[in-house]
Amino acid sequence: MSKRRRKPHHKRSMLGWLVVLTLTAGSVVAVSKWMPPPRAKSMDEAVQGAYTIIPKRIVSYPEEELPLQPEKMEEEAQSTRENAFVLSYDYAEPVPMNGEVDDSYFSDAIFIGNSRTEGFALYSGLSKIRAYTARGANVSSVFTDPVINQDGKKVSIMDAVGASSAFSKAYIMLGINELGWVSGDLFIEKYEKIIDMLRDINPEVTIYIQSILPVTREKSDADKIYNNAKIGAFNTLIQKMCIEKEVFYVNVAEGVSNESGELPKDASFDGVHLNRASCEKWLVYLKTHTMGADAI
Amino acid sequence: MKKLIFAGVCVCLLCCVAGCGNKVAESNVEECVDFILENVTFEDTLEELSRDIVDWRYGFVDGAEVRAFVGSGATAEELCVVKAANEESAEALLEKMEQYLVDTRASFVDYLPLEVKKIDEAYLNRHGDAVVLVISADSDANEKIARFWA
Repeated sequence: MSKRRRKPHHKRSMLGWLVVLTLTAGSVVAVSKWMPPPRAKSMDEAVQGAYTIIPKRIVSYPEEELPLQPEKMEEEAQSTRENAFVLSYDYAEPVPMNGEVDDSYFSDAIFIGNSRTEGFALYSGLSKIRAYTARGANVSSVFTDPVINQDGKKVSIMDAVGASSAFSKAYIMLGINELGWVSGDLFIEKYEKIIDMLRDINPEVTIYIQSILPVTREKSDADKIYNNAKIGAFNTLIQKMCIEKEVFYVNVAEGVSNESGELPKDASFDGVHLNRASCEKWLVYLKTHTMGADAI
Repeated sequence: MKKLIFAGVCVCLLCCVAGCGNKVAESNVEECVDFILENVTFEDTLEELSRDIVDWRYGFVDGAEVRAFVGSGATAEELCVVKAANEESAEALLEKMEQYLVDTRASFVDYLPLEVKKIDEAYLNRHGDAVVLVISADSDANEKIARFWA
């Protein structure tokens, strides 16, 4: 008996719930239609995430509801993309290939290196170049050997660099003269000091560490020290350092080597120093592997 | 008649002497560079430098006419011929080049000692308003270049 009495009461209760649910769903739909689309994240918030978020949201705005002018939004989005790209950069990866920059990209750059970089300065085709180089230069001698003429005085490479902060990019290639060193740790320790000093001089500097270029097969096979196996091992150390110091690793070696990873025989007189054609290839590689506004 | 012949001979001799003297004044950078490249032996492949790079390398600041060729870095070999505005400027350039040679030698002593001999035997001289520097593997280079200017 009691079961029969409860049935109509149960039906009424179910109907009541249905009405409540319908009303709730209706109001959610109505509210979502009347509400404006969500605001774009602030630039700081956007930087934390993927850089594609902001442009997508800009597109979703109806024109009359844009909180900022399209030009302004595009500028901010571009800036965000650049910042986000750098902040989320994986320093374990070499700088990827991207759009080619022109010579003016290097107008605020300095180059630090040994005789190979000197050859680059002479032959690459860059007309205005600020190169601090010396034959036989290594990560230690750049601090100690007075090889640069500055105001009638001889100073070390790093002292000469330190005398001016008017650069915002630094390209370094060192390591070939250190292949005979007993300690790889010492090599990295000194290399890191160069990076630290550059940052002391200019905290905003963009630092590119270039891989050590290979030598020719003939040179590599004949030399117990200056060979490609050692160069490969040193480049691994350099790449690891780039991760730790958060500087850009530019694998320029791939820009001048053959399919076997060696310097082609016709690229060098002695198997080590590059001729003009190879220095020009080197420059093309640098121009197509950059970071920053011009490259994104 | 004898006097006339004597006068004629004197005039001819004077012209010859003047001609020899003009060798220095008239010789231009191009001629000198061509002569050296044709007659002096270099082991390395020398490549010509652009003017901006020449100034950066040698520290030239005046508007002197210059052509310079440098090896790949595997050797100390190079060739630089500068024509200054006048002899005084050339003398100053010569001093600068002498210091450059000293620095170059110092940079090769520990790096590639075998190249030091070439630097020690380099040709560096002023000829009128021109200064010539040649570092090569050619042991007869100095004699050849001197002959050009004779």
